[in-house]
Amino acid sequence: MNYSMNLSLNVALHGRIEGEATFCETSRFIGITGPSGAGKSSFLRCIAGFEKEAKVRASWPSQIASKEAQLKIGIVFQQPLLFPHVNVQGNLGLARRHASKNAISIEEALTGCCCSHLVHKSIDSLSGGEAQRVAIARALVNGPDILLLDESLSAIDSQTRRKIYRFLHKLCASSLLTCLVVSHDIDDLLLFSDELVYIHNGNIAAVGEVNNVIQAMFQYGGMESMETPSAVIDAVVEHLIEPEAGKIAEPDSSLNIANKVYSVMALGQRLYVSEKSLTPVSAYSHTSSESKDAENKPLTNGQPVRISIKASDVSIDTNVSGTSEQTTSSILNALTCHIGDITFFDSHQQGRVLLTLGIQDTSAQGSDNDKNGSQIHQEPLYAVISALSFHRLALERNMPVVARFKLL
Amino acid sequence: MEYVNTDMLNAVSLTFKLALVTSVLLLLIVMPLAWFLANWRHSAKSFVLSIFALPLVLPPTVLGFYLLIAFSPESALGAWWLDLFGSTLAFSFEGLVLGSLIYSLPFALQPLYSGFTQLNKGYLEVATSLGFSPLETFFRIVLPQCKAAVIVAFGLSFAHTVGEFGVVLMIGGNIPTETQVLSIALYEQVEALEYERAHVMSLGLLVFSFVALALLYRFDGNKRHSAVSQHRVDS
Repeated sequence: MNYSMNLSLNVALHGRIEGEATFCETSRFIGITGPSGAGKSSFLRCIAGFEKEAKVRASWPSQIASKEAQLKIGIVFQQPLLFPHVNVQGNLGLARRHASKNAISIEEALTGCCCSHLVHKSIDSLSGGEAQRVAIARALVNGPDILLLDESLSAIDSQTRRKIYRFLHKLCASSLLTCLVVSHDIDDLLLFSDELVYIHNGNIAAVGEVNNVIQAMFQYGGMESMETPSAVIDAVVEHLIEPEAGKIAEPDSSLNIANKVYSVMALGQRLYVSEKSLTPVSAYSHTSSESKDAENKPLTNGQPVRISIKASDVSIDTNVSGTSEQTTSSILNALTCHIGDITFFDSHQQGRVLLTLGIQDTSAQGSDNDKNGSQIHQEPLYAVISALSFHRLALERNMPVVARFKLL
Repeated sequence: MEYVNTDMLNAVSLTFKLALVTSVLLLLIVMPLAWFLANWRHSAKSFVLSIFALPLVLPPTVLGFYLLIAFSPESALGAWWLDLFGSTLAFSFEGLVLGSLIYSLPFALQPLYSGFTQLNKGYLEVATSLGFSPLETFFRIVLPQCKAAVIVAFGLSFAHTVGEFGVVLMIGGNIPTETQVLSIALYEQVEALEYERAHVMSLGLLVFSFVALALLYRFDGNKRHSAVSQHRVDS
């Protein structure tokens, strides 16, 4: 039964995109990134079947492939392309005409894409971000098996964007959907992607688990074209923190602030993270029968989550004697690390240094003592600092430091 | 003397009948043609486009002369028509319709062609991804967005057919109730020095043409406005 269930794509369009990508059986949310003009959009257009000259070989996971005859591939471009001769409702109605049986309802799509209030509006009157939200809702109402998003959330504010990504992530988790998402916002992709694809110069340069792909991106210089690399860390929720006085809130508290702060444990160290900056990691088995107010319910204790940390948000402290619970700094998060690779940027980012930090896994201490160096966790943290600080602090490889960062 | 006589009324009704039949037929012919041309990529495209645009610049008498030749029973078309209907095309209403179709074709083709080419092809890709067939896409997505172009195409070919003279003179002659359209009737009144009647007809045609164009421009202008605001949303 488990025979060849992986999603595999082989794409060749002369001069624009070439390469092969095979994904894990469980991957439902796949992020695609790379420099502008690298061929990300061409990749999606090939999969959608819009490029007549392209050679595409795709094998879809079995639960999708079983109905290959009517395999539905939806696509949403950066340009929302809502049909201007009808209003928002009319657009969703047109998408509904050929909807597949497992398509979600119009109401569910509107709620999930935060555009219920727009339903009677004319297309002319929508802002760029609103139109993008409606465009995603329109694609979902059609009930695609595969949804290709080509920078379709670029004009949406970050708060709403995360909400919509979370909604899509939930749909993916309930096996209704596989999403391939092109975005320049690496943080969004890191938070939600099961696997990442890096496209460079018309080639699929790296595919796989997010941290591996990020490391591969260094070799292609992909980080320089991006503002800053980010690290992904898996953690477990401890509890929700009341905004005042650092009180520990009841788990079922109906706290209704937009950004709740959680205390989470990562690698045996405590971190404080706002809700916006983390995403719950759910096992891809349960159905999305969760009630609508699930969005406002705090995460339960012990819930596994994923955090992404921008390199530019990380500062380095050479004083490793203090504990991370020190409160003389407003920056709450401090991870004890060792300096790994040191990269000096050239070209337009000259004067900056990128440090790759190995996070010290205190939870592994004692249990794994026989293996030398097992305290240094595999998952790296990145920090961008100025060359000036680098020299003043006299940083060098294998030096123990404290990485401080905020996750607002 | 009367300013309006039955001949004149006949000419008016014949003219509008001809214009109506011509523009309806033209829309049916030109819509698929314009859609094809708008999506056609070939090195011969400019060549084909200029053939369809020829009636714009060709003296109507040249067109009329070739049509007259084609309508004669010695030519293939004329012989075929005679076989089929037992009458000649020349000097008949059917012949006028055929001539008008060719004469007014660019006026229907140009607005539709430019309307279709200006349509963002992304809409078609979205429609395809939503499961629309090409025909469904055309009728549910393309045509509603190109409504203005369709109306302008209809209006221009109607008004242009009303103003037809040279082609009619060559292939239709001057047979009351059969081929005597307004412009020919006017010409005849002037020849006969019936200037009052000529004034009535001229003024009538002038007012009609002006009103028709004013309506079309107004309609097109309204649509332009909404097209502009749609662009703002897209960008």
